[in-house]
This record gives sequence, C-alpha cells and structure tokens, in this order.
Amino acid sequence: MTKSSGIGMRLYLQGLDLSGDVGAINTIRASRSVLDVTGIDKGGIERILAIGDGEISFNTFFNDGAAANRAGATGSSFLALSALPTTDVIAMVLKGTTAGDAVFCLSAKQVNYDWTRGQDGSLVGTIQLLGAAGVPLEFGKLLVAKTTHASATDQTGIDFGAQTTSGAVGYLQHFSAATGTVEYDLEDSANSTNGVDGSWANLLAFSDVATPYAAIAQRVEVSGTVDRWTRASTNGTFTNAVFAMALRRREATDIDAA
Amino acid sequence: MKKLFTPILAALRHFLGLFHPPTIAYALKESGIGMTVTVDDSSGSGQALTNDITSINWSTPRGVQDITGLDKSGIERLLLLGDGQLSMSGVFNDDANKSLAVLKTGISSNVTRTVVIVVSGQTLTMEMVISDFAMTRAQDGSFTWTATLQLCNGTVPAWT
Repeated sequence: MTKSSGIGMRLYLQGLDLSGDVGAINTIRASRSVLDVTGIDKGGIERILAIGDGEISFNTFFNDGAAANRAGATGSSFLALSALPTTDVIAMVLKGTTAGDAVFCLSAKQVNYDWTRGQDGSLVGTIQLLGAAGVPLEFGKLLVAKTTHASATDQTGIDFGAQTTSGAVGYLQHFSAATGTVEYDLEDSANSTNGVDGSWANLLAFSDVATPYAAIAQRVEVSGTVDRWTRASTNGTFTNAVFAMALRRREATDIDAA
Repeated sequence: MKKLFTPILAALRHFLGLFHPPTIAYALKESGIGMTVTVDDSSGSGQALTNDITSINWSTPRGVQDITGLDKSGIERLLLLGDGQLSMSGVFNDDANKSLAVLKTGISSNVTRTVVIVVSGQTLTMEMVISDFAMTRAQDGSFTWTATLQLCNGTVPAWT
C-alpha cells in the first residue's frame, strides 16, 4: 500500500462496531510532552521526551436502533456511548479490513458525549477518548477484522518478515457469541511459509469469554520473542464467536520493550 | 532621415526592454517545488518522506533579551538561545520506511531524529524529537496526518 485515503476504515469501541455511525475521526493522536533540559553551556535548546499520551476523537450520528426507550436500545451506539462509563474502554481504529493493515489502539477514558443540533436539522455527536491506562496510543497490525467463527478456527497468519525479540501487545474486541466458552488466543510461528502450514504456538491468551457474552475488549502484553508469523485463533467449545484482533510488535528502541 | 529614425529606434529599444527585463532578477528567486525532507527512523537511518508530505513549515527562532540602558533612546537587544520548530502535514502511507513507519516510533521510543531539509542545494539540518503525531479521517474520506518536531540537542540550527 502506498499513499491512500481513509475510505474503508473501521472504529471498534469496547466490543461494539461503531463504523456505520461514525462520520469522521477528528483525531488519532500519539504525543509526548518534552522537557527543557538546556545546559548553560549550550547555544540552542536541549529537550528530552517525557510522558506519552493518546487521543481518539470522532463524530457520531444519533442511532438508538429505533428503540422506544434507552433500555430497549440494546447494541446501539447510543446505548454504549451515552453510558459514559467510568472504567477504561479500549478503542481500535482500523485503516482497512485486510489482515496486516495498520491499526491504532488506545486504552482510554470516554470524557464526553456532546451533541449539536444544527438549524438545518442535523444532529451530530462528538466523543473524545483520552489515554488513561498509562499507555499512549499504540500502532499495531490487524490480524483479523470483525469476523465470525462458528467454532474453533485459526485465521491465516500474517508475515512480519522477521522475528522480533522485544515483546508484543495483543488487542481483542469481542462483539458476541452464541453458546459455550470462547478461548481467544494469539499464536506465532517461525516456520510457516503461507500463514497456514508450519508449527504454531500460543504467544498470548486473552481471558475466556462465556455467557452472557457481553461485548468487551482486552489488551494483553507479552515479553520476549515473537516469531515472524502471527495469527488470531479461537479455541474451546462454542458457537458463533464474533471478534477482531490486532497485534503491536514492540521494537528494540521502544521504551516499553520487554 | 537619420534624425527621424534615431528617436524611433530609441523608443523601440525602451519598449522591448519592458518585455525583456534582465533575466538575472528572476532566476534567483525560487519556489518550494523540488525541495526534499529526510527524517531519521528509529534505527537512525534517514528516510525520504518528501513524497508523503503535502506541506511543511519550520522556524529557527532566537530568544531576544531587551537590555536597553537608561541612557539610550533606542532599544538595545541581545540574542539568547536558538531553537528549531518544525510542523508538517502529509498523506497516510504505511509502506516500509515511509511516513507511518518513521513517525509512529517517535512516540514509542526516545530516539532523536536528524531532520534534513534541502532547498535548491541549501541544507538545514536539525536534531529533533517528535512530540506529536496526529491523524484525521475527514468526512470526505481523506486520511491525513500532522507531526510536530522540536530541536533537542542544544545546537543552533544553521544552513549549510
């Protein structure tokens, strides 16, 4: 992929696919504050990087699923966003839906749910998510966009080109399931040639999801070696698990390399 | 006859001169077309981001101290610390060694970046940190980014 537009992007928030209700993503920000550490022997400014932060803010259209009241708006963006949860939420913005596409992930607090009703009759909400878990915005790669596994299945893996040794972070968005207990895993392989063959081992495991299958999202870290191929995998006995998964490989120069 | 043509020829020369001013006055001034921008990746390798960048602005300000004495009727000033600030905008590109690969690690690492701006053979080199990298997916479908970099090594930026 070379230079590209934003057509085909997705936004998942805490196990809810908001893509159809989002008209624009105003900000996907990774930032670091800087400290002035200029010595008296210098003619120019010296700076070092300090605390990192992240932000995802977006516009949304009003959608309560045509429910008669809020309690009936199950699964709608209105119900989820208007709840203004006080706990952290996990957002994933997908550049595209092809495995290997860029993904921007943030563990955040939702700090507002604001609306503007224009004179032309429009109704647009703005939501701001600010980094809240001590982790700034993270840049990962998509293992699988929102998909349904009828039973335990391995996705075709993606090739990073080389093994890395600085750890990784896995992101899961679980949307729903029908029956059973879903084990969401992220696997890697050193000897696959096509993302299917070769031997695969568990790199990290997310917490199992069982009834009532509430929409959730998880962020799990792992240290050390990550083999060149990685894939999303579901295990256990269940039916119709709907989920998405992404992986950030830490680089050797990253401050959280582990 | 000669008296008749001399003023006519002089006027003609003057008229043509209006349409053919000295070329040297124009050849020196240049646009920003063709300039290049290179930014180090997290491994310290300079990566050409020129084609990803749609606009850029930079400044190399110096602090100024007012030291005007009581005996002066005009301002006296001293130059203080030099600085470098750079802001650029571009189009999303996740190819290897392009804008996403270079800029995303500005936040996740503490690696400083050598930034090289070349305009018509003139080079400005600054050692900088990336303090902000933000993307916007607008309602028209475009997906663009902005990045802010600041001088970090205490060396006053200088053109070479």
